[in-house]
Amino acid sequence: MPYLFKRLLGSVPLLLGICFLSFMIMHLAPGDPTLMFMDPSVSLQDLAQVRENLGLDKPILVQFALWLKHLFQGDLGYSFVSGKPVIEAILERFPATLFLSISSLILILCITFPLGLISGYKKGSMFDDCVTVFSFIGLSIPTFWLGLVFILFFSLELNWFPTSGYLDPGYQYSQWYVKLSNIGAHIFLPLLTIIVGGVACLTRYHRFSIIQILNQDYIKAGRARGLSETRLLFKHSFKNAAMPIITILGMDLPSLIGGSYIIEFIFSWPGMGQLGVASVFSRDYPILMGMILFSSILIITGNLLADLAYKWVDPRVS
Amino acid sequence: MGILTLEKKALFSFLFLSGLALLAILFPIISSSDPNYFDPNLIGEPKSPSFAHLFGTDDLGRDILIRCIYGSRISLMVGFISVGISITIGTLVGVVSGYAGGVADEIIMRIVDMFMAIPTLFLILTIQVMMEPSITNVMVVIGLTSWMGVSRLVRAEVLSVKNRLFITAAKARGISLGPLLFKHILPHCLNPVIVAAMLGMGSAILVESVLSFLGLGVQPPHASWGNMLENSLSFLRQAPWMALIPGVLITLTVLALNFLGDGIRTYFDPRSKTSARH
Amino acid sequence: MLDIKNLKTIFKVGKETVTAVDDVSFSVEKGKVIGLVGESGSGKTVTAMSILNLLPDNAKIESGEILFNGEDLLKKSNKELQLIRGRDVGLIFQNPLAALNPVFTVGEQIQETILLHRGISKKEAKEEAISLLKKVNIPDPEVRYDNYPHEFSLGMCQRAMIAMTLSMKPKLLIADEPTASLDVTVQAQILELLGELTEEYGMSVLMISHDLGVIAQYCDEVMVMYLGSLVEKGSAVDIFKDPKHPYTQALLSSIPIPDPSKKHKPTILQGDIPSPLHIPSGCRFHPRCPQVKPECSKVSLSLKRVDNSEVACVIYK
Repeated sequence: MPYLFKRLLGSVPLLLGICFLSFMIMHLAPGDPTLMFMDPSVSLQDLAQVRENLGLDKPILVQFALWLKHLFQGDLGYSFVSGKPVIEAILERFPATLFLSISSLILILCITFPLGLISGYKKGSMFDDCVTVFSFIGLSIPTFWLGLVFILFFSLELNWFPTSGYLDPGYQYSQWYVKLSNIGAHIFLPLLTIIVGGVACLTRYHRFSIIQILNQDYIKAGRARGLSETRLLFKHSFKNAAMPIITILGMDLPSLIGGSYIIEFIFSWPGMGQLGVASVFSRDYPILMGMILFSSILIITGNLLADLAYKWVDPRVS
Repeated sequence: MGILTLEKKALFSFLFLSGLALLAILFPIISSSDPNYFDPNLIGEPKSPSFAHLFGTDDLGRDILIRCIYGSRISLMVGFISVGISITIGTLVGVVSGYAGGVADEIIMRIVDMFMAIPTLFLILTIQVMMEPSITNVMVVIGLTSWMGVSRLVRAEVLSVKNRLFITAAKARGISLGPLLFKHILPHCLNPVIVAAMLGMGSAILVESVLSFLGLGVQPPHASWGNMLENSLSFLRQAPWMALIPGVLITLTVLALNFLGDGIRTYFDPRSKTSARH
Repeated sequence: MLDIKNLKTIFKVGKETVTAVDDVSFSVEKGKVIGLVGESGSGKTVTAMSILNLLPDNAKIESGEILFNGEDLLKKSNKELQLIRGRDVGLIFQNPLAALNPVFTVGEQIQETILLHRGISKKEAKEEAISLLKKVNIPDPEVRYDNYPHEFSLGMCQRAMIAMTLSMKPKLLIADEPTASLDVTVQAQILELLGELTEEYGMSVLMISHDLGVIAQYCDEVMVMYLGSLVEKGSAVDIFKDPKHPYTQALLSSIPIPDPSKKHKPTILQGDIPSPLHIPSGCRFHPRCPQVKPECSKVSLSLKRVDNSEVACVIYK
């Protein structure tokens, strides 16, 4: 697939740029970057040796090249706190984050499509008004605060859901469905929090594009041919309206990811975000740098997937 | 739209924001209330809203209403200054990129892409961790990490304007580059930039609240909506108003900015007027 | 077959009401091709869209009757109209590319239409679609069946639209400026094709155009519309040979005659077509009329028979 290859090749300078930016930010950090590559148990003499080996007296670009070399060897340094290699610390948190983001993404799309469709079709109706106001409020609420309110209400007041975590202790060896329902209870509130913001954002765009599509000649032509409203709405508008959603998803990925990190932290969901925010408090720079790089790679991959999805949906893109 | 037309929503939002801004500016002048004044009898025992303290008191016996008013100073200031920074950078980058075109445009846009691929909030967190947390830093860092959207907008506008006849005519009259850019091209970018500024202020206020909530923004004892929320965490069950009130204020302020931005956009954009207006 | 009586269609623009079509009556007989001419904004498209009730949200048919084979379409529910649309009345559009859904192949869209109105299998519908593409002279119909609209030229898109319309063998075809977006040579081809097919299928046609050349080439009868009302109606021969209404005369004189030996002096109309928000009183054409009389701003006019045509003008009494 030459298109995919071309796009992948195009991401290389992007990644290099992000690496350079990360490197420069690291230079802002107190101390020096050698610390990041060191196992904290290394002695001072060894540290001096490493400094020399890394050539910290050399020009900054040379240093950057050396840093890159480490990076390509998969060496992102060691966590100040746990002493683990950064890449390992992040990767072990990755599945939980992936689980949360993919399930929230699926739910967001499942809610957005019918909501935007009906809201756009019934433009100006009571239902549409409610959806519009909801989406404005959803866009304006600080997500972390919404998480707090949910905890306050659903966990502390009503005691329906646990406040934090992933699996209660003692459930590790339970039967799978008991375990699953426990995970479900834990994921419910973080999921709800992420979904509110996501649905609010996407529904606005979806509603708008449905309205525009319904004004197109091909919908009128379909009506003139005797196609039913349901068919026009669900078959002839669906794919067309999905296109802007794909674009927006690709573009808004950074804020979606950033937002869900805070949510993970609020609900102690054991994902990358929680690790990242915890590292903010412990000043664990190597982990923070690793997080930025890793998240950027995720975002670039997400954009690539969005492009491919777009290409798949729209026959006009070649 | 049925009860609330877009115009009405924008008007209410405008009134709300001006009221808030006036209060934020004038209150410290007309009132001698100290946001850090505390009632020693109430330490450790936050009191729910009452006539004496309309918004209640916090864990140190401080009046939440007064702290909220002082907090609005911070939020609005962060909104204004960081958006000022991001708009300035974004506009400059966009104009240069759009007007220069060619290789320069290509390179600048790749750099913009790069910035857009970084999870901004996380970048800000990291930078804040590495620097001394202070309100100035918050504003500068938010400004420096949120200009990309504006630059894309401005670039698109410049591209659509620069080959129009009146620009060619201006060039033919021998108008030099500076006046050409600032007098003839930039005014066309004004409307989308104003809208972006409104929405940008909303998100800057949100980012500030996250930073202060995580203890990386405005430092106590200074009051900000975000650090009031941080403070409320340990008293969530005991004193929920400590968490609810600042959050509602943030939501209302950002909501007003979003409504205002949307209202302005619709007002200036005839296309959205006919197709998406209620 | 189609009888339109006193049709009035209004638009809501903000708080104001605009009458786009005012008291228009005409009929289309079986097998006849009727042309509806007028400048842009004269209400011809609104008239056509009113017939199938395909108006935008802010438009409404205020009064009148639209009788199709004796049944009033305005009294039908949307469900019942759906059956008539396409099956009995076909519609082709000014911009054929916009009238085709960009994300489905041309073939799929024709097949979908066939399946909708006829109980045949998918395979048969596909074969039928291919034969229709062939009928409208699209080369390699089997290959073209799987093309997306953007892979077609504009002329081919219009051919495909015609094929789609034909698939249901409608009794009436409404063609809204079917050639306006096409190159002149393609225009001629499409008109020729339409002419052949209307004859073959025995369809009636309501052809809407601002192009008098198109109308002259193709229509049996002509109606001239100005600012939402009909000003003249008659056979194509009469209207082109002996236009009665000053507006028709002006329209016809604006056609350049490509013969330098003939002296041709077009009547230049003063001013622009007025905004439908401020429709002049009396005869709507009077502010621009070269033969205006004092009573023109006061009279109320309706079409009256003059010689072989019907005209709405005070000069003929």
